[in-house]
Amino acid sequence: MSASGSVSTVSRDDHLVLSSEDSSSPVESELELGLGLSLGGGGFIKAQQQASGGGGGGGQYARILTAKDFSSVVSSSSCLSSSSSSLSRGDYVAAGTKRSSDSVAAANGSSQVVGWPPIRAYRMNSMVNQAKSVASEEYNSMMENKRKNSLVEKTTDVCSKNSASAKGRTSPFVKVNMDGIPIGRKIDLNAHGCYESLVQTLEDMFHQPTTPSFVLLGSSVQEPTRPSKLLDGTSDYVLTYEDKEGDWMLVGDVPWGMFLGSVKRLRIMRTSEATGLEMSLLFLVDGRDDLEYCTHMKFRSMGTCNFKYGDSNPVS
Amino acid sequence: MNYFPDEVIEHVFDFVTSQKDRNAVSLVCKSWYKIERLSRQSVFIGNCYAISPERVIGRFPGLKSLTLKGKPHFADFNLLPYDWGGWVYPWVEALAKSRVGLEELRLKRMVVSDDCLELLSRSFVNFKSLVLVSCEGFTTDGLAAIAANCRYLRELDLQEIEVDDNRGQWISCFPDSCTSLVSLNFSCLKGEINLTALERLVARSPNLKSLRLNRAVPLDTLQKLLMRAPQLVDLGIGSFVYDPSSEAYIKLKATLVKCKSIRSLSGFLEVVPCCLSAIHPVCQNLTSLNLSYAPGIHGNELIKLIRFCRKLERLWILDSIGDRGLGVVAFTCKELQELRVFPSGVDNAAVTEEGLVAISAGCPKLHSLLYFCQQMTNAALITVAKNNSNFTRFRLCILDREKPDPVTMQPLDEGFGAIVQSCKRLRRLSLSGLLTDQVFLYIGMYAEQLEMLSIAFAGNSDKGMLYVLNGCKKLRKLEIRDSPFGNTALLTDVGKYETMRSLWMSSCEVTLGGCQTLAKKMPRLNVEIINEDDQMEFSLDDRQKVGKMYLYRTLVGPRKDAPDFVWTL
Repeated sequence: MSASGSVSTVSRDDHLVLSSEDSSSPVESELELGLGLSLGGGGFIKAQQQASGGGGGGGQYARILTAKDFSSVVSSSSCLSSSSSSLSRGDYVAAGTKRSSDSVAAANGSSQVVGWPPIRAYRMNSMVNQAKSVASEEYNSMMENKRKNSLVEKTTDVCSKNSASAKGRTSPFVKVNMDGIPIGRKIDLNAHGCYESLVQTLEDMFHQPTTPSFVLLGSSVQEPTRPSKLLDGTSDYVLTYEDKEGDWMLVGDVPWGMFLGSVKRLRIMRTSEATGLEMSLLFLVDGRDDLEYCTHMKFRSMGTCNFKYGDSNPVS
Repeated sequence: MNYFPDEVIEHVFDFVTSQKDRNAVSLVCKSWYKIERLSRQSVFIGNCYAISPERVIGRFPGLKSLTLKGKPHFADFNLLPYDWGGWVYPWVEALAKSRVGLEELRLKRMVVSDDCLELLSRSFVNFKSLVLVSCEGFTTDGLAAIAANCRYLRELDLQEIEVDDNRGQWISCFPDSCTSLVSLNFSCLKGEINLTALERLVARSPNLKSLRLNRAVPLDTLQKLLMRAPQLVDLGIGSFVYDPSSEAYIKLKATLVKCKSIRSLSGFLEVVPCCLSAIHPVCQNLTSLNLSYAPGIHGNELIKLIRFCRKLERLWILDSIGDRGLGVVAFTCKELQELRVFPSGVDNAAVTEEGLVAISAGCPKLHSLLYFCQQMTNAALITVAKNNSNFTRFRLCILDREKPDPVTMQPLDEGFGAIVQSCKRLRRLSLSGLLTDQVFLYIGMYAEQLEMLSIAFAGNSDKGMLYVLNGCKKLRKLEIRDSPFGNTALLTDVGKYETMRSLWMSSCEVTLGGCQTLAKKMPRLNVEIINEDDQMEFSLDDRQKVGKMYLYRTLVGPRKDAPDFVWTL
């Protein structure tokens, strides 16, 4: 089995758009997207897809949008070589990915063998059982009881500390700011059922002919008029949001419904500043001195940061 | 040799606690042998078939604590038929007949019946501690017997056990007079549990330090238990499903803040996949965190949690944490010593070499690793070896069998070679990915302290296995599957196997003839051929390849409890 980069064999039918219903069954729709930096300084998306209906026995998993189009890109040799050269430096390595979609195909296609992977039978069985766990049923019925009539699509918001928002969003509009543009906008999140729609709207809202087009996490970029900057490893912006706990997160990390329940505001951030987002991006590559991102992030109990380059003022 | 009376020497021996040291002490002279054996309280038997219970009891009449291991390691992965062996009943029976005052029994990969537990509970007045890991064969009836009859029970610890028949009343069998519990772990039980009885039990156990609940224990009960046991050091949460505006949850948050002693956290067997903020206050003191049975917690939440865990020494997690999350671990957990990353059960695993490199750079104290990943590169392993030469346990499992370095398309010989060369204290190693004989050359050359080696789908020829057998002087356990090693490798140094505990070879190239030759030459080895296909005839064709062979040194000859499909040569 070769590992040369090639297009994922997962069919388009697997493009499941996350709805709030999906997010109500916690185990069944699990998605994780991450942002990584390569040495080239640009960002590229790591889409971690979880094949639906795989043999391993997890529940079904939904994936966002065309992010997997990036995965085929990501497995191209340019990304791989840049990553491996970063490895040789012995520095902390930013989370990148060399997701080879071939290996997905291979994993899907390779024969099952007894005792492989070497996981204790007890652990295997418990993972299978948890996929159909009672928890999701309990959780669903609990949320059913809480669900009130509402005009908006309700999210399964259980993480709110704010009791008001436990009953649903008080206002569907959130502020959106883009770095470098003094005037912010407001966007109605409830008008969108998914990330793709949100991202497209934002792109339309903020796209200016003079600025390079930005690619947002999970945006569908396969329109011929807007070539993806990710392809040459230089996207300039990422879409982030502040959640109810004051943390800045990458948009697209959680199921849509959950996102709706926790987002307070959005920020289209320059990639260079996004190096602070989530610790993996703290691993500085190429001597970036711009640590201003720290002031935008609220890291709890961080103490001193051991950054090699420049100085920092973590807000604790 | 003896300038002191025996009592003085015995007192000195009290300070010699490790079994290895005590074994060494007993070899010095007859007198020391005698003093040592009479004063030995704790015995570890790595292979229950290497010796008989009667001989153990004969040598160590003062025995109080016995640890036994039964099935070989690959039995964990369904490579061994169910009835192969490892029954503990004969041991308990022999101990019960003797005058041994057994207080502690620790079993791993053994078959334990309800009768056995019943006998155990009735035979030893001072029985205090039962620890079962990866065992099978009993129901909650057996647990009820232990609960009811062991008056001074301190520890009941069940790890990774399938107990099917589960009626939650066993917990009610602890008498009201039982107030001695220190550790109770029933997290692997699947069924309901009598919550009131559990609450009362915890309430009357002032010494309780470790409590691991199963999924049937809901949040409000958890809160009540914590109120009664704020001194807990180790907590395993069962169900963490809640309504955030409920009083139960608010109470729990408040209670958790008061539990300042908790250092170890696990479980979350059922969990709502967001907002574990109730746990955050506990995190800052945690030294051990096991979320490997909590797929309901997705990567983002994991990362948030980890950011608080700055004192973590041990972390067991699912690969849903991703390379990004491992970066967070590397940044935050500077005290980390042991890391296990398990696959979350989906085809497309979520960690790669990136995460491992980050960890190796960020966690200088890390020495024990189990890492299931999607891919690995030689460059990454070389970097890991440069960053960290402390590894004592290094187990890498690339989920795609025989997968090469995806960048260079080369085998991973150089990467693993770097690891063994750098980590001079390496005791345990598991290999995966595409590997040739070359990696075994490196292992034989450099892995001087290696005691256990696991090989799967690796190597090209007998030379590979020979490099290992010749080079690794301290090798105790070797387990090989699906690798092209045959009779030459098996038979070149037959004496080696008496210096080892055991050798497992399955789906390799050894033949019946080869095994028979070995068995003939080495009478103190049991060479078992496990033939589970229904073509039951053991054909006498020497050239027939052996499906599964398990050999181990023993002082008591072929075992008498071997089932039909096991043929001891």
